[in-house]
This record gives sequence, C-alpha cells and structure tokens, in this order.
Amino acid sequence: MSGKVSTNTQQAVINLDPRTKLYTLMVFSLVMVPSSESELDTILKIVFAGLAFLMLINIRRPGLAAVYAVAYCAAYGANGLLAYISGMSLLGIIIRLLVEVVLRMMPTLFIAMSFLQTTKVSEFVAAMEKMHITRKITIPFAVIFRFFPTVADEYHSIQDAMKMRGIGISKGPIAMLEYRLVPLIASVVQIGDELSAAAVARGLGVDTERSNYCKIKIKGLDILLMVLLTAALILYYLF
Amino acid sequence: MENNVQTSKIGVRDLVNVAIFTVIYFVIFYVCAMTGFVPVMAVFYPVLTAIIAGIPCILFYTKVKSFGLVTIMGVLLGLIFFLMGYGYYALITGIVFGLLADVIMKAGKYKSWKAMLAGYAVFSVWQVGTQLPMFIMGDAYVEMYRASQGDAFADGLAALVQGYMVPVVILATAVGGVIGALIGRAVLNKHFKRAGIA
Repeated sequence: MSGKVSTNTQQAVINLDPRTKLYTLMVFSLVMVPSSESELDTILKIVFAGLAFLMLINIRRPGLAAVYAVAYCAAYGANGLLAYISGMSLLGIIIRLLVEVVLRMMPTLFIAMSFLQTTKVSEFVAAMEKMHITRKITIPFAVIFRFFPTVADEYHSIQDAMKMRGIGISKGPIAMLEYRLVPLIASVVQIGDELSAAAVARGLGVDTERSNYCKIKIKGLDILLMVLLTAALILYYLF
Repeated sequence: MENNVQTSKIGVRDLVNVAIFTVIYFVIFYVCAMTGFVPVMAVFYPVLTAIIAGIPCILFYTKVKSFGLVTIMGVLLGLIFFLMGYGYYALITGIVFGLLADVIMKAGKYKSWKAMLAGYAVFSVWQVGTQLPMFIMGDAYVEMYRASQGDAFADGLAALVQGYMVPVVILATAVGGVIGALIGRAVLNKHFKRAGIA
C-alpha cells in the first residue's frame, strides 16, 4: 500500500495532517453549498475562497492560484453585471452558470485537489485508522485509489483493440456499451482477483492490529486551522 | 450469524470486490452526470446511470454473499463524491439507500433474483443525494435573481429545480434501476457467464 493518490504526489510547503485536510474539506462543503442573503454568508465565502487560494500556494501551484484569483475577481464583477443582461438570453444563462461555478464550486474543488495531491495512500490509511474507522472502509478505499488509473489504462487498451476491429462510435450507443463496458468490466474483475490474492498473501486478511510506517501527527498549525474552521462553522450556523 | 448459513463473514476478497465495482460504478456515474450540461439531464441523469450501471452491479450482486457489502459500496461512492468537493449529502443517501438495498437482498438470502432487482432499484436512488446541493442552491439562486431578472425568469428557473421534482426523480431512477437490472442480467448471461467471471 505504498502507492500514491495521484501519479504526481507533491510535497507541500507546509505539510498538514490528513485529518486536518479532511476536516477543512468537510467545513468547506458545509459552508459553500448553502446560500443566504446575510452579510456573514458573503464575508465567509470570500474568506474561504482566500483560504483555497492559500492552499493552492501551499501545494506549489502558483500559476493555478493566479488563474483562480483572476477568475474569482472576474466572476465577482460579472455577478454585478448580470443585472444588465437579460436573464433568459443564452449569454445570460452561460455567464450565470460560470459565475456560480467559480464563486461557489471552485474553492471547494481546489481544497479537494490539494488534499488528493498531497496525501499518500498510506498516510490516508494511517489517518483513517487513527480516527478508528473500520477496515471495511479503509481497505476498499486504498484499493479504489489504486484502481482509477488501472481502469483508465484498461479502457485505452480496449479502445485500441476495438479500433482495430473497426468498432467505433458509429455503431451506436448500445454497441459502445457492449464492446467497451463489458470487456472493461471483465478485465478489471480479473485484475481485482489477482489483487485480492496478493492482499491475502500480504496478510491483509489477518484480524490483528497492523502497524504503519507513516507517522502522522497533529501539529500546532493543524490545531489552529481546525479551531478557526470550527469557529467559522459555529458562526455560520448559529447566526 | 451462526443460525444463518447464507451470511458469511466479510473477507479481504469481498472488500477488494466492493472497491473495484465501486470504481466502475463511479466512472459510469461520472460520465452520465456529465450529460448534465443539458438542463433536463441535470435533473434526470440518475436515470441514465441506473440503466447503464445495472451491468456491473448485477455481476457484483451475484458475488455478494454477506450483509454489509452493498452498504459499503454506498458509503464509498458518497465518500468519493465528498472528497471531490461536491458536498456531503451523497454520503448520507449512500449510507441510507445502500443499507436499504442490503436489507432487501438479505431478505432474498442474496440469491433471489427478485430481491436483487428490487435492491438495485432502491440502491440507484442514492444518486439523488448528488443532486440535493443543486436543489438547495436552486431556491436561493432563484430568489437572488427575482429582483434583477423579473418574475418570469425566476419562475421558469424555479420550475426545473422545485422540491416536487425530487420525488419525481426518485421514482424515475427506481424505474431506470429496474430496466438496468434487466439489462444487467441479460449481459450477465450473454457475456460474463461465458467468460467465466460470474
């Protein structure tokens, strides 16, 4: 289980504990999705957007952070401009959708991205175990991280094979399902069988407590961030 | 569980199986959800997922022998969705509908085809959780633009994301689940049994 969440796991400037990152993600989903007219709502959403910007800097993606900052400011401006564009026109609908995505979805998505890009699978499993989450969840989760790239690889191989046989999109959606999805499932299931054999051989099926070489620890900054996020959450839901 | 022969303990092999079928399900779900750029599909994509994902799910259910695996699948799907930053509602519906499906299929001792069909139809409804943020955002959204865009626009938008659409989507998804399960069984018999993986 020493695989990585993404193929290019980066080292962040300040390494946060996986639990802190999970908590940040949770608070973001709790605050960014609902909407109200209050001053507090507006202020908190801007503060959180700023936090997402800092997270991007932290995972060494200054370019993306800059693009995000520009997009956010543009969306904020466009939001005010919308009053002058007819809401039923195509332009109005497209702008409204874009504004909504940038202002409300993007900050949370970037928090999720920074979590996925800076957390190794073994760190994640260690964090889950410290939170006393059952292995019935942690084991499949570790496998899932490993399997997304596998599915992509297998799909490309099948696509190539079907191109050779001359079975393309022109055959219609039903043929697409039968000639793409069915072989994909068949090969992924077989890889899964091999993987479970390997997992049993590595002693994953034993019911004793396992040790993990990944040392994860909650540090001062983790506590600070968690306290601030909790404060924001309480503020948001009580007032 | 000693008095129940049909229910065995969950082993590593089962957990790996849940994981791979969850990945396949999620890929199908994600592709279907992308059709949501068409407004109608933004509301009805769960039906499309339910029809297509019947193929892996029925194969998965034939491998399920113990209680809890279908629930774990629901939890995992909700968890992936949450980790991708789309909110926590899907995690709640994932647990609830996964558990319901598990109970239904346990009643059929994980062998009855009717229980599998019903279980899959119920399980498919978890997807409504992925849409709840849209419905919740929708209301505030409509109100935000009522002043600047006029009542005609606001009411037109409200028609699509109204609360009464939720039961409509649930029902349509369950029907899609029945169709998906039937397709899944056909594919199982035509391909998977022959390939020796069922």
